[in-house]
Amino acid sequence: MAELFLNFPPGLIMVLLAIPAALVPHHYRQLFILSVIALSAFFLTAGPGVHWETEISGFNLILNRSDHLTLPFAIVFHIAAALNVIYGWHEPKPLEHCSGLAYAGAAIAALHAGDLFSLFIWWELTAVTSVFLILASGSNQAKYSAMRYLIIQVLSGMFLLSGAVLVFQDSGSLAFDKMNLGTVGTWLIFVAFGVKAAFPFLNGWLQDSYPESTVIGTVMLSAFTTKLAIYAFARGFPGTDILIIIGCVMTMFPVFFAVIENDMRRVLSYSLNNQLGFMVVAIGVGTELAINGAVAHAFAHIIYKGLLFMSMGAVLYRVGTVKASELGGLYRMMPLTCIFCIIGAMSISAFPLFSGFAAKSLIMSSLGYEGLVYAYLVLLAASAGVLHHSGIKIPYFAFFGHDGGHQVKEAPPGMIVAMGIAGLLCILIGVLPSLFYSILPYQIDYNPYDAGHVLAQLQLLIFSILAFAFLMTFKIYPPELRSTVLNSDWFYRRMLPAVGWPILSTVLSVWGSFLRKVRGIVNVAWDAIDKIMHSPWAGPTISGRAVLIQAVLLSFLLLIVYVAAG
Amino acid sequence: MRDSISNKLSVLGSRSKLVLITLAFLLLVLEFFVHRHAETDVENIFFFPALYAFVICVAIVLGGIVLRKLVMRREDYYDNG
Repeated sequence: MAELFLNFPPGLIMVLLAIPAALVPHHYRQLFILSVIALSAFFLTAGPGVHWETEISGFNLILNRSDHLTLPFAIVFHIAAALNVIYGWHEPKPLEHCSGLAYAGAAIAALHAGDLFSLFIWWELTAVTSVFLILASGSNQAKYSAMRYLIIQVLSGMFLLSGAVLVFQDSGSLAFDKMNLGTVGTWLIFVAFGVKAAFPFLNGWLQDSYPESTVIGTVMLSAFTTKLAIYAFARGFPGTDILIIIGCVMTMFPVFFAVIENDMRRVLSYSLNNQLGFMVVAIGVGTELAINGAVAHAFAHIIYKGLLFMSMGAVLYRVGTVKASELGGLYRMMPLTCIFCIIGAMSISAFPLFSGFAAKSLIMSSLGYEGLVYAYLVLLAASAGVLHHSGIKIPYFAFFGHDGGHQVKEAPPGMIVAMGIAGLLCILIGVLPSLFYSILPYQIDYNPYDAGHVLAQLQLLIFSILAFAFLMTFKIYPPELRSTVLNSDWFYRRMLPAVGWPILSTVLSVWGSFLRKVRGIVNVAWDAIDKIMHSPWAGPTISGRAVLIQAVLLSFLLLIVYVAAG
Repeated sequence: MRDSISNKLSVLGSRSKLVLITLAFLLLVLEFFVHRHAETDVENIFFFPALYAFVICVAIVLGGIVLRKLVMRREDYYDNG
């Protein structure tokens, strides 16, 4: 028994103890959850290798596989889970804490799934556990959004399962390793991953649901689902060329939306989407440096994006809104939150000495070495865009800009501590890149801090800020307006119902009238049969219909036997 | 009280622009002394990152303004279901 326990995949214990955690009274619960996360992290010390493999009705299931690709993701997932607990300390209700624990656990266990079937189980469990984080908002809007989120996520799981079945049929193995696009099965799996990674036009769920979640919920959501998809791509499709193009579109496409969006947490969701694009491009390149870049970026991104969501969560918690048009001037009331937000903003913008720089440099260099100039230029443009909407827009409109006239207190201590740790990690990664690089999948000798590289990056950043200042000064920058910005979820929220309902109702009415006709014919036939069978010579004891059915069946059987024999 | 703060803010605002322009100028001057060994040919163009960033940022915002005309709706667009 003890041996079985030690073979548990990391994360499983978090899923198992999530419901019992609800029974623990508040403050103790946070401590309990933190120790569960620490216990789960202890399972990481088992080191690389397959630790739990079992056979169920002929299927070889690998429930716990660790290697150099799972480890960095697992580490950062544990860090994010722990930070979320500290961040949400002020919240006495158990719902978010417990579903958050199960959600993080499911995502961590998914990293360690060595076969497609176990991956599918955890894949679906991340969807089912995380939907409560959106529901926890309690508003009607959140309820509908949560349902849309769940449908899309479960759909992604269905794609994964059907893909897995077809791959098993083709190759006789369920093992989750590098795949080549080409068969229907691998394409289905590719799309399943693509939905969770918020590919262009499959991204609607992300910007729809994340900003609808609670203060704590959005921070939790931002860490796991999409990065699990990035891990899945890095495992299953490294070096797949089409990912470079998809990733390029992903980096640019959300930037424009982020510029005009008014809800700050939605701006961050667009920017999250754009960051995923960098990782997808790097996985598409597939060289050791590029994969390292993708993993490093995912690692750094979870922390700085979490930090940005935390700071906007703190604003939402205190002010009650995160609409850019209502905010401004908060730096006097919430100076610490403001500073942490700026650290997150500088990290995501990849300022030298911040984590984004250490991570993104790997991706940019890998593109340069492979001679992918177009992708390089797109990502460079996207980097300028990131600075613009996440680096400047978020802190500027929330904490500076025109004064929103709010009188509020600084964020509660739990939030401050969590943001402080996250900020510290952002700076540590940026200052000590070699330590950070040592946990990446491949050993590399790379130094992001050479003078030329730093100069190029600083020029890029400072001139982006200059452009912002220029556009603000000349009043070209579009004012923040209360509005809804249509995104790809419009297709299933508006277009599909608009086009689908008339079609569906026509089909249903045609089908209904067809059924009525058939029923009419059947009734006529039965009436005729009843008339014949209930006539005196058929005998009154047995129901006429039963006799007739038996007669028909027997003749049918006779016919089959006759054909078979002949 | 509020006036003095807003005064200070506007002073700060004008200074931040000054700092920004000084920094930008310094970075352009540095271009003459530090070799940006480029990873792609196009980066060898003088002042490339600075020019590229400025142009792209303006283009993104202009693109955003166009996009606004296409996809911006009133805030309660989705409210009825």
